[in-house]
Amino acid sequence: MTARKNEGVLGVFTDGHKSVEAVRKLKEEGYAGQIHIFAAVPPHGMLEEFDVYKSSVRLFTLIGGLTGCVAGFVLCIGLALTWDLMVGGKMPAAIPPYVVIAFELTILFGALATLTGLFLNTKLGPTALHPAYDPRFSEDSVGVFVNCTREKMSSVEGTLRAIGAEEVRVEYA
Amino acid sequence: MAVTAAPKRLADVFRDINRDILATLDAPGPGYYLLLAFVVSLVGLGAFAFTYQTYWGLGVAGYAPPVMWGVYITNFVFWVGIAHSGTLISAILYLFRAKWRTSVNRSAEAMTVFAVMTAGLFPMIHLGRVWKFYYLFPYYPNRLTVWPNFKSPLIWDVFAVSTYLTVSSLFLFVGLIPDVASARDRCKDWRKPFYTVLSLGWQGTDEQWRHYNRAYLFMAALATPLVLSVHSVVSWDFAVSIVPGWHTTIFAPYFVAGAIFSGLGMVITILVPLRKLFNLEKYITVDHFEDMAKLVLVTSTIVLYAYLVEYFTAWYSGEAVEKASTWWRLFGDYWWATWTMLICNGIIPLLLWFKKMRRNLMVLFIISIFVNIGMWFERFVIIVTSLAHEYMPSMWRYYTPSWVEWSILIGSFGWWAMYFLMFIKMLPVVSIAEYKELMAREAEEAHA
Repeated sequence: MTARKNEGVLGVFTDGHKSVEAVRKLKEEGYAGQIHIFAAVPPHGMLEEFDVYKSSVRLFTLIGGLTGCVAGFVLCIGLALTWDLMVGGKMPAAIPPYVVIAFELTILFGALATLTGLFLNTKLGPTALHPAYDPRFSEDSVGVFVNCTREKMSSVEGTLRAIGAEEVRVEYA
Repeated sequence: MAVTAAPKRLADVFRDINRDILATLDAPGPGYYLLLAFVVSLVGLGAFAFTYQTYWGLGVAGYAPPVMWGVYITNFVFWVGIAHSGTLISAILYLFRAKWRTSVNRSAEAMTVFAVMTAGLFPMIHLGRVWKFYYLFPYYPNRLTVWPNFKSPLIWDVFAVSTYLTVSSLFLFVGLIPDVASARDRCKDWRKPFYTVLSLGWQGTDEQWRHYNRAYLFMAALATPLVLSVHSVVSWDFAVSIVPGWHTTIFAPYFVAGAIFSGLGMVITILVPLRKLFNLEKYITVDHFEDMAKLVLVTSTIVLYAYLVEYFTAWYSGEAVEKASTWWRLFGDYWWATWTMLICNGIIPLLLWFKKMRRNLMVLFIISIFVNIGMWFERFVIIVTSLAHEYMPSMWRYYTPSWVEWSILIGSFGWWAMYFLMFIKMLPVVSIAEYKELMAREAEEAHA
């Protein structure tokens, strides 16, 4: 039996070290992949506790940058060949001056793609907040949420309390 | 015991940071509205002059051959320069992991965006027929029936400045997301929906932080070469031509150094009163100002060196036209502009060699005003004196800006300040998340 998306137990910590310890302990107990945190700033060592550390945003940046570079040359060479004018003794499709345009578009497309990558990967958008989210998480506290079935809740609650969670809440949403 | 006690204190620090920085968003007093009304009246003056010029034509500006680039292009280059400190402080110092940037990066980034928005007005004002400005943006396939010359630095400029505006805005926006979420969680008034939409559902989850940190790093990595390229491209507007006084290879690095110099000057001009008015002395400290003052000193010496190299090259080249042009700059009709530039940019900042001067905020504020004045005059000297003393002696002319140009210049300061004043009351002026990260790192180092 699998837990529903927002069903689980939330532990609230003001001590960042303890929240990291809680994540470590819960992983040992077999909850890896079911743990999520909420934090104003991830405590030292927290992000390393999650199995996937690298971000695919870099691929967006790379593809965006390369697309911009190609688009810059296509724009310049395409328009130059449309008119096919020889000016100042330079061929219509002269490369060196077009490097500037290609460079600027590399940066522009790279930045726009990075933002797109961030939005897509983090599902940022005007979405509703997680039911376990608490305004304290953008201030001074760290929330450790374990997505689990009702049967496992008491065990998770016990672990969170044993490590020093200042508040433990059960979410059934 | 110490191990468990330290993080608790960190939570208190985090709470204080939220409270103090978000307090800047509280309802403003009458002084704020008075100041806002004043800067809006400056915008009104600029708008009136611009409307007058649009109705009567560019002839109401002081233009006459050979000086067809005057105060408007001076303003454009000046504001692009001002825009440079934001990306320097945000992106370059972020990549170098300079801790002190955390306190000042947000205001510098905002200043950058508003400065580029201001700079972008001037090519349009300078066009005369402003309703045709969209011709500046060529697209493929070309339907504007004009030949876009991609070999011209003027079109490079369009791409460079538009890219800079877009990337600077994105960089500012991305940095704001976690802080706007903090504002959303604290706010209970009519602004809550605004913060809710702008925070994009940010909750600070592990997944969000993982991608966010990388995205911010990549943005910084993209913005760093951009900042160097933009003012290089602006300098090529001049250097690629053969006008005496413009045609020199030193222009790109000289312009970049000057831009950073002027941008830092403006950051200091803003931050000295800002920290006092919003009780941010705890976050923007005298140490931060000292670090900025050191950068001002470094860039000032680079700029002074560039001036001297320019004069030396003119003398050593043996080129009669180049020598005459340089001599005229220093001792001709525009001597007052050249010497204002040299004194404000090269001599006055030398006071910053003294630690006492760097740490005295009143002195630093006054020096920063001189830097702003000096850098405006630098652009004026480069543009106007070179054109006014171009090739044919029979064409030489003394250009004086008209009341329309002065009004638009004053209006541009109002335009820029208006956005900044609105910004400081709507969004956190110091980066909350980054400041907390810095505190956490320092606590961790102390703990280790």
